[in-house]
Amino acid sequence: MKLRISILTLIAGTGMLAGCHGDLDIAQKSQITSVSMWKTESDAIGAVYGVYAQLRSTLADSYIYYGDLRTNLYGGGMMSEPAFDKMGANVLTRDLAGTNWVSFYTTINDCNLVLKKVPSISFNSDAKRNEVLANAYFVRGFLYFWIARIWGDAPVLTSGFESDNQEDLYPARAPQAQVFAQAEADINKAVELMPRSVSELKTGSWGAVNMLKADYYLWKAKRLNGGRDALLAAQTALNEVLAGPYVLAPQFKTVFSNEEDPEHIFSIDFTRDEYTGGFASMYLIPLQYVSDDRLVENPVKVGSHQQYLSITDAYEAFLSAEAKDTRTDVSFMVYQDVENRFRWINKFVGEWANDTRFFTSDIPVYRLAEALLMKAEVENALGNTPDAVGYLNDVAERAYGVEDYYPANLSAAEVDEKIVDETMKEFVSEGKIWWAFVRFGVAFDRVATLTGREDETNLLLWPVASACINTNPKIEQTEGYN
Amino acid sequence: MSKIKTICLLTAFLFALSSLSAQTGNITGTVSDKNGQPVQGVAVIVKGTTTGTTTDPEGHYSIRASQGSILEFSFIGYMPREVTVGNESVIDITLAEAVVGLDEVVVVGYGTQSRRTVTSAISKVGGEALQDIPINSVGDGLKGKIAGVHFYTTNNTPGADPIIRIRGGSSINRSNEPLVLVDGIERDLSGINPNDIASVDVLKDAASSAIYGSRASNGVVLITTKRGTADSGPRITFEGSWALQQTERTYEFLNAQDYISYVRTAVSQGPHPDYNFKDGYSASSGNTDNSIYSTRYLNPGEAVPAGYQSMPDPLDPMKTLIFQDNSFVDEVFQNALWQNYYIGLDGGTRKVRYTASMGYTDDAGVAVGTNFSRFSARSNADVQISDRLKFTAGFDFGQTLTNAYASQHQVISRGLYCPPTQKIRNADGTPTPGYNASSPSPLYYAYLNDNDQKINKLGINGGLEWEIIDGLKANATASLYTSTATGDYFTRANKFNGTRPSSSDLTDQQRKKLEAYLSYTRTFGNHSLSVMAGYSYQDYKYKYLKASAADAISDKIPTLNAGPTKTEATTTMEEQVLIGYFGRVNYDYKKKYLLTLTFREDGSSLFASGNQWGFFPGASAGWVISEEPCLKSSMAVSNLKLRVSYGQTGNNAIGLYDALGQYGVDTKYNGIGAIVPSSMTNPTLTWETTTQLDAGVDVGFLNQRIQLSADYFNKVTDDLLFNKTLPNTSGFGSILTNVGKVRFSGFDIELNTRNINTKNFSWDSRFIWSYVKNEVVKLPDNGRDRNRIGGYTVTMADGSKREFGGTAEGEPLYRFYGYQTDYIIETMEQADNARYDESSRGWRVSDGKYVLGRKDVGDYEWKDFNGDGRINGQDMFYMGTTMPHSTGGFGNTFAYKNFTLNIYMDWALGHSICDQIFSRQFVNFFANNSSLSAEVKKTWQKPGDKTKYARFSGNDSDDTNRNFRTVSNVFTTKADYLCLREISLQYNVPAEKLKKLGIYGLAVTLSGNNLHYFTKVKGISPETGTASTYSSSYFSYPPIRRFSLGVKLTF
Repeated sequence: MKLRISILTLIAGTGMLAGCHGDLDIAQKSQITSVSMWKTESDAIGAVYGVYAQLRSTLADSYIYYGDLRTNLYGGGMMSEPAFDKMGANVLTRDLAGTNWVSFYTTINDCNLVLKKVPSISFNSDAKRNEVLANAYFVRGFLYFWIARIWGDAPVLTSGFESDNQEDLYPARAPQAQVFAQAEADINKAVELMPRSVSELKTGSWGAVNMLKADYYLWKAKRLNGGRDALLAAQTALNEVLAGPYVLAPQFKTVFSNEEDPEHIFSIDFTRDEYTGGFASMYLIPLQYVSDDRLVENPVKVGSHQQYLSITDAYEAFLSAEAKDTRTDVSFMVYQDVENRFRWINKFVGEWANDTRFFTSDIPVYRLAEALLMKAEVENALGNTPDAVGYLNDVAERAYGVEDYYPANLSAAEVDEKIVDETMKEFVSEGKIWWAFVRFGVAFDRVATLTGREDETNLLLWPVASACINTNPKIEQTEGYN
Repeated sequence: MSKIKTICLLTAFLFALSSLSAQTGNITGTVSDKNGQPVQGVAVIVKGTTTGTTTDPEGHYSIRASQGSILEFSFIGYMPREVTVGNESVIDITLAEAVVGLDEVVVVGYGTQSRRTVTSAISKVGGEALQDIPINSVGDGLKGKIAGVHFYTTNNTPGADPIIRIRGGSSINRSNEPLVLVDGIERDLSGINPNDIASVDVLKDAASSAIYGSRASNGVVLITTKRGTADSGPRITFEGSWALQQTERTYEFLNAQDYISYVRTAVSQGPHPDYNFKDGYSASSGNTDNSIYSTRYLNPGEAVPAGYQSMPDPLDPMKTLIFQDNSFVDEVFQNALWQNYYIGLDGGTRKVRYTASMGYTDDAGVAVGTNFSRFSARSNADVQISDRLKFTAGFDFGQTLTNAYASQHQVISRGLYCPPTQKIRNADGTPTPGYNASSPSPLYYAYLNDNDQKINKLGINGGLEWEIIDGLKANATASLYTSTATGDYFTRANKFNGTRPSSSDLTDQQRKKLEAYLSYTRTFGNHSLSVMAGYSYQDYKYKYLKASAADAISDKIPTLNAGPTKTEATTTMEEQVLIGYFGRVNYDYKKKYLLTLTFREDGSSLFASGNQWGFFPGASAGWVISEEPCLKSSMAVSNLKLRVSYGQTGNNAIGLYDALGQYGVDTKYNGIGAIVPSSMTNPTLTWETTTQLDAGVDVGFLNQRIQLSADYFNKVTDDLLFNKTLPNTSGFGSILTNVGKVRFSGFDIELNTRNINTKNFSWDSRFIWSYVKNEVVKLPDNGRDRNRIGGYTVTMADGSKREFGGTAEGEPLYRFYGYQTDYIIETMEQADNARYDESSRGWRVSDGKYVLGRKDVGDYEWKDFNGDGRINGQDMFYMGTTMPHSTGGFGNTFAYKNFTLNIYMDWALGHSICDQIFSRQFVNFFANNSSLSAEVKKTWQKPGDKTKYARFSGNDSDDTNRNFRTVSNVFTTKADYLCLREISLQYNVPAEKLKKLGIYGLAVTLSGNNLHYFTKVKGISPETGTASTYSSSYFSYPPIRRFSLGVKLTF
């Protein structure tokens, strides 16, 4: 009897134990899983900010590798770094910094997931949904535009990877034209969807998508045989920007001292305790070189990081040629103490607080001055040279404090040359000059380390890093860099 | 459902058997040696059963045995004895020495078993191995002492625990840490006082560890703490020991005079000759009072200041340089005190047995600003409620306080790059900083930073053991373990950072476990059977909280409230549940033919629904040949047992989000919360399953004076949890999949001998050798040669591709690669014809110019792997392996009258270290301000010099041709070592001299720990192989040697 009770108790007990099996399904509290993501509007908006956070880490350092360093206008500071020397020498080797596209495609995948998932999420307003989608198209179009110009042929991916059995997981490099075509489609989609009322600065806006459109169509016109149609598309986009809420800062220095200045159209945000650093951290004088404490910030801008980059003597001379130019001191500073000549790029000094440097300067991706120079470029290309001079003079007037700095009777060729000159003066270390050189077709004239090298295959492109090839056997090295 | 059915059937079976039983009672007694001294650890077994116990420190035992049954008493070093149980309830025994024992009791999962009937691979070390040596942690005392188990220290900072690897582990990407259970509680070893430990049992093969199912692939370590004995005590033990600590080895640097000579000469030939005269350079003649460097010209008419030395300027001998000659190594690492105190109480009546102890260990830390202390308390109680019902309870508390460097890479590896001419302190007495924020002088770091960590660990366990009928026992245990770690960090305002960041964190872990099992033991004539089945439920909760603040107005307040800028606030909460059903059957025929079957069915919350449950079986068999008639009477062979086992275990060490995918919410953009995809989902994930074959032999000769135990094992892990690398265009670096297979195979040998055994003198030896090799069998398909992950793809001169490195099928793990020197360039012609070196800046002393890629006289010519005439990342050669293939130990114990001398050595062979901390001591980076190795004197200087070091050229990394900055074979050494780990000399004061003082025992011990490594490795510990010592994850705290004096008093 007793035995039977014991057995029954045991069986009952075992049954109760089995009842605990449900405890194995635990909803973790601290992170979102694939099961709980993509349900609400706020998931979608959070994901868009995630896209911009990825974009920031993609470009924080490399923005100037692609846009500036190959111009050979920059070189070592207190110390030099071989990787930057190679970019300046236009001797790009595989595995050089900047050759790995992983961050570009990570950001693109994040965009793709937004574009894939957002259509099935319900929003309070269509305008908000369109803004979310427009931002994803804007960033993806921006990145494909850069990828096409950096690597040429490259994978074009639009599906959004969530598992490892999707068929396009192992892509080959698509022809460069296809990459540009994807950029064009995305940019037009962004313009189509972006509500005109959106005027954000650190994320996409009506002005930002139109700047990107102008940037792209100018390139298409000049480099991809886009012809008059492309110029007109760029003109349309620029007219939208110029009709927008943007105004030139009265003084050039304000552009960099006030990151919210209405001149700015799109900036990538850097904030203390959120994300700091980037290329700007390599510009200032390391504290250990400044033996006299009184010079710190007065005037020597110091950082805790080694100064691997500064401008070259030739560029310094070019920027200093016009005494009236109010941009010179903003772009760079020189201080000669007893033993050292300190020279540093002065635009992105971030914050100095508690005797500590915080590299919090935003990357100004688009600002009105560039819209004006682009407008000048478009009008000049369309044959409206006097109008072009007018836009060029808008920028020059602020810089030199002189109205009609450039005479209206300049030839079209002279105007193009002046636009490039002004780009070099206006956009020191803003990631613009290399692209301008290539777009105007003057890279081999203006870059000493490219002189006579027109025959080298794909010299204006970049090799891809081994990591791109080693993770995907379908990827081939950029021709000319094997 | 099937498992539940199985349990019911088993249960019914047990009950059916239970009708046959006999009267039993509790037998107690004391075991002593021929001198009347109690013998601890004697195995007491009821013959013909698996029931057994061991004697406590007083020699007491207590066991249930029926009238007429035979008690077997055995212990290594003593002749075994058998006594038939009569009417008496107390049986005292005297054991004769001279033979090495066969019958120890080993702890198996959920029970104990006599060594005689064990058929799987289980190693045991008694607590005495951890006694009388100055160690902080349990693992420190076990190095080289257990066959098949490799204890090695990766971090020598005070209080850090060694890593445990059993038979090489089981995984490639996932944890290779064994499951550690202390009195049944899953926890790490830190916080446990080595004095409290009664035994350490290690389950090495699958048959023994399968009872722990999904967490057992890396083996299981079972630690049993001391318990009280019936009818004894109360006895009080006091121990105190005091040790002097110092570094066992450190790097040697050039002194200031040599340093100045080398640096000034090199700088004068380099691109920045002005550094020889400017303010703020270590060897410059132009330093002012502002500079942290002391070197400068002696002013006309000035006497050499106090604390300065002088020398002629090597560049201009007419001038006199003055400088300080400081040794930062000597400043940072100073002799430190280590102290340990322990009070233990134990005893018992027939009904209640108890132990209680308190311990305090304090390690003042050899490196400035580091230290460790531990307070521990533990008590165990066993209460015999009735003849058939026993209650057990245990409690332990440990508190550790630690100050450690947040980054040894910055503070030690880079901190020691402070040159000898650097002033140690400023005029105001504060330490001078280092060159930059990430290479502080360690003194400066310690002065600026508070890193206080406190961990409280509390374990409580209780259980009931109910002998329902004779032979049938029900056990239920519950335990709670909590660990609360807090850290408080503050950095005072300094030259590099004026924001006074402070942070505080709290990690709270809690593990609750409920286990119940039934066991039944029965002998029918020549057949013995023992069956056990049970259930386990475990819940683990984790919470992490961290907050940070900055911008406090002064250095006075290190806490967060003073910082107006709150920079971080985060909490993380996680939970895991593990449910298991397990069972075991032991059967033997005449103690000659042995069989054990084991299973466990585990469910884990880490996996997605549908893939949560796994089944893990094990089987082992043994044949005791020495029980066969042919050997039974052999004088030479006293024991011979063949064992074979086979089974499967799991490794469920995956991340919480690996199966479900993760979107991170820790990112912000423009101050707004952002969501970022961070891991790809894979709902089909399941455990790694390890299948292990073990074949072993236990053999004893000459009445067990020589005992050998040897095992061969072959374990293959399938369904390897593998981060399958994804194309870097996919948005994710990798996805965790169950693809891949790896094999670990090898052997363990343990040899114990009693070499000499006379009345007054004995000599015992113990030799351990563990060998393990590994091979990757299968990897995820990725289209590459051998499905290689990582590594190098090299285009050879003929256009063919060669792949090597990384992880690949058919190759072992843990290899690393680097550049290899061909020769040192001796003539300008050789330099002109040298291969284009992509990492060379091409500086030449002769023309003072940079030409990228060219070489100078005295540079290394690197070997060109692919024959393309260019030296770059394609020219990699195999340099070494980070894991040793062989480890082991060799111990000798000599006893003469009341003196005991114990010498233990351990060793490891086959691993290598690429020491980039050391190579950078030739680089003179930081704008020629970093310190230089004493070996710089051996660098190449002129044609014909026979040396492995290229020329010294000043700032090799930033200014010249990267001979030393390049990762190469020059700084890769075999890290083989033999460590003189422990020596102890103990004197036991004879008992009769103490009696009148009321003292029971008094022992005085002189001992040493980590006395010397015989190795080629310089400056750092040879125990951990690595592809780079210059890494933020590498611990450069040097090994620490201790000399101690200890006193043990028993009342």
